[in-house]
Parts: sequence; C-alpha cells; structure tokens
Amino acid sequence: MMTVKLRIELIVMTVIFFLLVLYLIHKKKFELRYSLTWIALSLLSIIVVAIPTSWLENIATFLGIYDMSNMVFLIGIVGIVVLLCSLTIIVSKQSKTNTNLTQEVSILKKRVDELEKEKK
Amino acid sequence: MRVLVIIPAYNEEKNILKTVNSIKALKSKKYDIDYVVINDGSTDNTEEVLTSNNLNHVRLIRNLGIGGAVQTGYLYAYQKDYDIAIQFDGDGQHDSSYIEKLCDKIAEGNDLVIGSRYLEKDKSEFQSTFMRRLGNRILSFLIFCFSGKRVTDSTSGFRACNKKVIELFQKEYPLDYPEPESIMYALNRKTVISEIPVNMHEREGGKSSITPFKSIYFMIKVSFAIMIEGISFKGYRGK
Repeated sequence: MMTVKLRIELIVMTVIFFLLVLYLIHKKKFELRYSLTWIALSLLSIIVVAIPTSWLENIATFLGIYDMSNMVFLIGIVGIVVLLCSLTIIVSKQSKTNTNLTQEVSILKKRVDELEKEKK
Repeated sequence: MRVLVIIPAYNEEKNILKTVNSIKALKSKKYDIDYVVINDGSTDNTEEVLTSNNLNHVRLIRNLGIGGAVQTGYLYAYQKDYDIAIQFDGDGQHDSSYIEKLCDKIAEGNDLVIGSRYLEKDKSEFQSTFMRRLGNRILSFLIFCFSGKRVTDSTSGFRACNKKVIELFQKEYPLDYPEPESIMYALNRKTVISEIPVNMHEREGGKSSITPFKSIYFMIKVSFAIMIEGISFKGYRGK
C-alpha cells in the first residue's frame, strides 16, 4: 500500500524526470531520434504512479502477481531493459559507422601519402 | 552576391543530370550561382552520372539521410563563404526559375525564405495529396502555436538562407524530416522568415521514399520536435 505522501513524491519525481528528458532534447544533448523511447517510458512512469492504486491492484491480480508494488517494480525493470536494448542497437550501428570511417580515412591517408610522394 | 544551390541526391541516376542542367541554364545578372550535388551514399549509378558529366559534387561515404546530406551542403557553403544557400531537390520536383525570386526575397532582408506550395490557392500544379496537405496544416498550426509565426509550407525542401542561417544550420540540423523542426529552431533564434509561392512538379522518375507507416512516424516525430524545440524553458522567446 502506498501512502498519499509517497504517491505525491513519486508523481512529482516522475513529472520532473519527464521534463528533464524534454529539456535534454531541447538542449540538443539528447538526439530526438533516439529519445522517443525515453519519452514513452517517462510518460508511462507518470501514468503508473498517478492512476488509482485499486486499478494497479486489479491489473496485478489479473496478471497473477501477488503484490501491486512488485508489479510496479517489474514494469520499471522491463522499461529499463527495453531502454538498454534500444541503446545497444544504437551503439552497434555507431560501432559499424566508426569502423567504416576508420577504414575510409586510412585508405584516404594512403592516397594522400602517395600523392605527396609523387609531387616530390 | 554568391549563391550556392545545394542539391541532395539519393539514388537519382535518372533525374540528377536534368536537375543540374536546369541550374546551369540559369543566367542571372544579379547573382553568381553555383551548385553542389550531395550524393548521399547512393547505391545506384548516381555517382557515375556525376563523375562522367563532371558535375560538382560531394560523395558521402555513408548514407546520412536528408538531414545529414543537406547539412553537408550548408557546411560546404559556410566553408566557402557563400552569401546565400538554396536547398533544391535532386529529383526534379523543384522549378529552378524560382531561385532568383528566392534570392531577391533574401536580399529584401529576410534570413530564411521558404518556397511554399500553398501560399496562393491552386497556384502550384502539384499540391500533393490530401493527407500531405492535412499533415502540413497540422504542422503549420503547431509552429504558429509556439512562435506566433504563420508558415504555410513547413515541409518544403525548396528554401533559401542567408549567411546567418547557413552558420546556424551547419552547426545544428535535425537528422530526419528536418524541414519543420529546423524552421522552429531558427525561429527560436531570432530568424526572420518569409515565404514566396512556388510551383512544384510531379516526380518523373525513380521512387518516392514515403510509405504510410513512415508518414505516421513522421507526423509524431516532427510534432514532438516542434513542441520540444518550441517550449521555452527559460522564458526566453526570440522572434
């Protein structure tokens, strides 16, 4: 069971976090293309803490979970895993791009060196 | 004034020569017009067409998307100190006869001039489908909400910028579907924006890259982008 005090704290925290995500995008620290997952998750977290606890209890029972707060943690963990997956996809693509750029630059360097030798 | 026409091209082997020739054919007494084709990692014979016809171009070694390709053009314009940069599609949908009019509008004192399909009713031969027009109107409304500026064609890729905006865009430019977001970004930094009516043609060869799924992603992403760019976190509002 959550106390009213805790719920207010959680709502304030999740709303501030959502605004923080928007601020980071606004300041170009977060690239919008990769931030859609963050926006979705931070909105989801506001919804989860703001809806009446009885709804959460009903969902928990429906899913076969003993305690509502266990379910909230589960949702949180699933959210984090989804985020990490999306980050891994992005990192993998960047790694390929970096490899490709290194290769192209190296071949370019070789061509420049050859050109300089020719000039002499 | 020195003008650079930036022509981003992805797999436009059929259209690119015609497009560049329409620029080369422009004879302007007021402006010194150059062009550069940005070959965005095309997988067809675009590069061969460009090299065999000796067309001025930059070949990107990886595909960056329209945002990255156009930004490359802005970087080129910035490094070569051009006064005006024009974005011009590589597929032949834009009409080069409007380039001088865009430049004149810049010379009047505007920082960014958009060639709008919707400024005069029924003027453009090709006003695009109903869905596209609806999407455009939603985006124009969003831009108006956050800036007070009325823009009738925020997705138009036919635009002209002066040095101030060239410097802005070469540093920071959205990666995909960049046109509306870049307008909002510029408006937030005291950019004077204006529009002129233009004609655009139906696509002649090649394939358009827009699918229904992409359209939905586009509307969501661009709407978010306009809103987030438009929210002023410090209470600062530039006009």
